[in-house]
Amino acid sequence: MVSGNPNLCAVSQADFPPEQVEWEFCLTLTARQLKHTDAVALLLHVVDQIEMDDNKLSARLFMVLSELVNNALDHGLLKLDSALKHSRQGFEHYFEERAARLALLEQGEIRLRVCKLAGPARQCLKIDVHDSGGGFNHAEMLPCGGGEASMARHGRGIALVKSMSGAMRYNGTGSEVHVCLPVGGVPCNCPYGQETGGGQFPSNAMAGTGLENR
Amino acid sequence: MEIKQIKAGNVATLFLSGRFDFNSHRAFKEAYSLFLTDPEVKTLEINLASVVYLDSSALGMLLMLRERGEGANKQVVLRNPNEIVAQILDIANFHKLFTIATS
Repeated sequence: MVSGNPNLCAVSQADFPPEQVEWEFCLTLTARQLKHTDAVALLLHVVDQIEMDDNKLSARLFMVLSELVNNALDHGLLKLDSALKHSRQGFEHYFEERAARLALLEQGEIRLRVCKLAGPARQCLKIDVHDSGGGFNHAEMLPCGGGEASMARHGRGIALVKSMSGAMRYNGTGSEVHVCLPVGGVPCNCPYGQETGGGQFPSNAMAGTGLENR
Repeated sequence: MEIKQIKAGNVATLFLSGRFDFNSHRAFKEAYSLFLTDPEVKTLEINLASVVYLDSSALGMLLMLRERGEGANKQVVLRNPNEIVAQILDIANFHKLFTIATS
């Protein structure tokens, strides 16, 4: 195990030889904190403090964390339907509904883990997000709702994460997602991506994500 | 996110800075709404130079603006995204939907 306390960092199914883990932290937020805590900003701040030399990492990590955490909250815990975004006022309506449901949220938690793997052959951040809400149908999150693929009202987030990261994988129910984000411009070849069959996503490939040009 | 509005001739510009995500949706909409109904304004420019963080909800908001701009007969231009933001716009194929200007 990476962590001495398996319960503390039990988000991930994939573990690594401890000597490869440079740093790691886990955060669990329950309904009460989720109402007012900006989890993305919090995590980003921690990573920014640790990885001070890499200013591009911060923007990429923000995008990944924002998509994963918001999906876990919106769809996993709050059960918001992305189809809400389709009407003309849809986007605003979606955000209002989100705020209303969040205010009423009484149960549920989101567990987050971020760790950095560093070795002679690789450097990457591994990001795991788990929600207690039974997940959501991430396959349905692929773009739809617009005439042209790139005009889609939703699904852009997951496609973006896929193309900005080294590997991304959801578990069967969609309640857990694992992302590998290469650091320092070196393509990552970490066992996480290989073991999980999460797939290697070419850096500029929208192929297969539904965002490619039709 | 902070938003500064400047109107010069028939070009209205919103200077955005910081973090452009769903938290900014209300402020962003309020900032462009006035310009959409201003008959003098022909072009609405979104200056992204100081946007450090951006996610897919920001992309959704930009698309919404583009749609509303079309309805109001105004062109929407995105200006000076930083490297990572430009990469995100590129992956999302925004260069096909918007004029992305650099200066």
